Amino acid sequence: MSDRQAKIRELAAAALAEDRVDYFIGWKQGINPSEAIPAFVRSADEVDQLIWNPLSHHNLTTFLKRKMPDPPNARIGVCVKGCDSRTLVALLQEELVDKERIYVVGVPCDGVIDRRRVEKEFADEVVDISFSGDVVTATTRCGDSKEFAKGDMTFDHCNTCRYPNPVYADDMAADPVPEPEDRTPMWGSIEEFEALSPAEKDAKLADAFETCIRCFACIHACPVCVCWDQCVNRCRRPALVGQRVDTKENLMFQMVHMFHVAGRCPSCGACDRACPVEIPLYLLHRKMNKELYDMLGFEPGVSLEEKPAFQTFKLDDPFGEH
Amino acid sequence: MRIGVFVCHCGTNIAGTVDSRGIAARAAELKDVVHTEDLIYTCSEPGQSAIQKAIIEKGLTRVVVAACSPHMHEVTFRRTVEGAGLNPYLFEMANIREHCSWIHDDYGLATEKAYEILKMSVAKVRQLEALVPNEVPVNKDVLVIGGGVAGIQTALDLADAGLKVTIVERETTIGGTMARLDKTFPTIDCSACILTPRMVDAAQHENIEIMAYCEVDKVQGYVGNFTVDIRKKAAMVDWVKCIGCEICVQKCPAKAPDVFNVGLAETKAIYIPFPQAVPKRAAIQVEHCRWFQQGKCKVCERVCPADAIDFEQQDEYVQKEFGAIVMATGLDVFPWENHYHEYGSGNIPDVISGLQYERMLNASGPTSGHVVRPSTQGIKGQEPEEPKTVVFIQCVGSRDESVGRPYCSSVCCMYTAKQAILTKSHVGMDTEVYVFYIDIRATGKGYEEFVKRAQTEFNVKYVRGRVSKLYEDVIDGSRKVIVRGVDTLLGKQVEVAADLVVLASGITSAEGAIPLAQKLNISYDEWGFFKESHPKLRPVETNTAGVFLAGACQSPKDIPTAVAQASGTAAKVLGLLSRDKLKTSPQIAIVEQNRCVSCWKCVEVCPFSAPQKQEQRDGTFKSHIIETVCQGCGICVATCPVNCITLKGFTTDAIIDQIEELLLA
Repeated sequence: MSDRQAKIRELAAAALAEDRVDYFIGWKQGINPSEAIPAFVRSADEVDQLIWNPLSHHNLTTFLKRKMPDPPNARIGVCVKGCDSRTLVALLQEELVDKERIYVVGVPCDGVIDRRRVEKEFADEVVDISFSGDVVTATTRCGDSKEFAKGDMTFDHCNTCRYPNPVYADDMAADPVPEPEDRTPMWGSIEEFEALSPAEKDAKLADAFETCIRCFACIHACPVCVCWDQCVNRCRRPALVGQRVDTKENLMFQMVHMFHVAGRCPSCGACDRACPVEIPLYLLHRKMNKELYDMLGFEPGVSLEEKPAFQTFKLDDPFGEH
Repeated sequence: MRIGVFVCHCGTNIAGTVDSRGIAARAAELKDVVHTEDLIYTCSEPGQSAIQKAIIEKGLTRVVVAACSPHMHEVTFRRTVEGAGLNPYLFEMANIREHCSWIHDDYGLATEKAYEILKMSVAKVRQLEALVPNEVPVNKDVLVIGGGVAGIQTALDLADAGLKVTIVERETTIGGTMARLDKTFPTIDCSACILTPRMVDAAQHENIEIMAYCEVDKVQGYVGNFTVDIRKKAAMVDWVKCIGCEICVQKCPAKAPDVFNVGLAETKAIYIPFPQAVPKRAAIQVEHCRWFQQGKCKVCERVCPADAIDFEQQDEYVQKEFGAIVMATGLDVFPWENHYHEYGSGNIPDVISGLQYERMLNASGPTSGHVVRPSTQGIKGQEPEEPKTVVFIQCVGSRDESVGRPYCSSVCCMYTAKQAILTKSHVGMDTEVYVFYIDIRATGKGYEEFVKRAQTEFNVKYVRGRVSKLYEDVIDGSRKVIVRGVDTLLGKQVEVAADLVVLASGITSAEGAIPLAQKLNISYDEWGFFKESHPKLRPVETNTAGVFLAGACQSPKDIPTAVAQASGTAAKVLGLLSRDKLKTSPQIAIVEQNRCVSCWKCVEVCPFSAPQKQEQRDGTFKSHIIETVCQGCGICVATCPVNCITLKGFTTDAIIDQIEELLLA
């Protein structure tokens, strides 16, 4: 793990020193040592703050779509995990990011930790998480300490991940980790959701979306959500989504988001992780991905040559069979 | 705002299931509605006058007509309101016929539904704004794709009327299927004798340019202003120098299958399809040429007196502008070999298709007009044998759902009767000729009489029934094709030992018709025949403005029908191009650029390439929709994630108001 960290620092330092990028985006330790936060490094002598560990969950490609126009000609270096690289590919497919102006360091990934899952094991605030092999050690403010198997604490997304290595990168921070031979997606909890009756689905969605406070953290974290200030969810004329915060309007807001990123969202899980009230947004996005896969055999953000599914038309598309 | 509501009875079409008078009266309670009226036939002259009278007398500023589909009469009523001085786009149509009265039978519920549809239209009409059509200049040149008899006819009619016409033909000569026919029914006049003068007329006409051995590569633009990329295929012969002397063809040592003669003979790697070809120019079939395949030969280059052979020739692309496009891509013969395994799948030499037989009957065909059994051809020291018994089988690839062809090919009954008569006259009146048929369809002028002549004067034996199997057998020392079928009139099995069997193979769309239709954005059916805009009232137009149909590319047709339609098409094209400017629909999409987030989804999804990336003063790019290219289909509007594209006349506000009217009431 530390060798990947060292390599990231080395590549970042070289890119900055050789003036190939204006700044480099990676991860650094947060104020609370139990979490990682995005880091923007502007000179080679600052690269020592960059880290890589199973807390480095942020999908940093979201800053590309936001930073790209400002400054307009910035050249940006960025670290991507397997899932992050797929959102980057989705952005490149649509020319929403200029390929010539980015420098991509790919990081093979063994899965990242769901910090909330760790926190739920304690009554107190977790202030430190450390790693030793596959053992995660968490310590609270009061000094309570517990050890967990890493596999028990990773995100659901990581447990069903089929692309642990970046599908697109200029340089790699390590040799690729072993990949599953069978890339057929695993849908896990989506299949459980699909097995529910319509009334049960309704109830589950209502339960899940009732708590949304419309903070929009999800769409800010989402790399492929690109409408910035013009989002129809906040548009008052026409008022497609009501101002009122209730289950139906919340669901409408998320449905709009789901359709706007459909065919472009590889369900990297950034929205889930950003949500302060822990809404299982993957229910919508992974369900849409499953539909696209079942109907068209399409996986978002896998190949630069492809176009997002909803922007292409082929005569043999199975229209209306579902 | 003063809205007038007019509810149509359409005789009993609507009033039989919907209380038209009742809903007209109820509509008076709707906001802004100042006038309501029910009319027996709103589209009639008194109906339209009533609308105009109300507009003038009551000062109406918006009009709703609840009647049939806008597809039917929207244009009619737009003209009506315009006649009374109202902007035609301040009119909305509520479809209470196709969407309501025709599909329901409960009077009470249908009336309620009709009222809801009407209310929604009133909600929408409040949001409408006056729109003014744009005018675009019209290019008066016409592209005809396909140089068969239909294409030639359209081109000649248009050229005679003074328009410049370009015929793009993918073969090396124009002429199409008709050039391969021997005689034509019901007059038995020589096909070439009536066609080739027309081909020459087309070639010599000052207003016609023939681009043979070319294909349409790409079509952009819209009615009045098409830009077409045409690929000139490399013939490996400089056609400016070639004089069509055929010396190269005589000397070429490489054989190639003769497509023009449907494989009945061989031609050379360098070839001219037939003596009357227009233009009469040679082309090399690269896949059969010794120089291209083995790297030596070049005999043609040595013998050519005009120094026209050019082994280095490449495909060339030319771009041309047209105002209208006529599709005249013709037909192909149904590939029966792939479907009729009970007829030997093409492996029995004495079973041939109708078009092959046509070539055999032709004096310039591979047998110089002698009817022979293909199985006896090419045997050393032996003259080919004439058939004594000839069996014709109709509906091979037509009216047969087991091969996926339920339609009638419409020409086979007649050409079979013609070929049966010609068989008797070529081989002798003592030849036994049988025709196995399902029904005889002889609906044209003089057709039924022609079939009767075949039956009575020429004693052709018509057997009503299908043939179940064809197989070869040796009977009394001679090779025969056994035809096993049924005579359904006698109700018994029949077996005929035939020397030659001719299959009346049906008509299918031309190879490549579907990709071409996709390039032009026109509809086609499951067999690749192009679809007309309306089967009765717009039979030669397509749903893409400025693209027209002529001949068998639309559906199987005989020569008289194809030619008549081709002239009809020419009339429609002339009508379109008689104007110097065309009004374009103002119901098109427009981008609110300050809200555009440059995600380019509109650019990606537009089938007409109307949205463009337009550079702004600050150097950023935003979407911009070219007014004249936009067809108002609305795909970009639905795709735009920020909803910054509006379709004029179908604004989001209007649609939301419609839905709210339905849901909130």
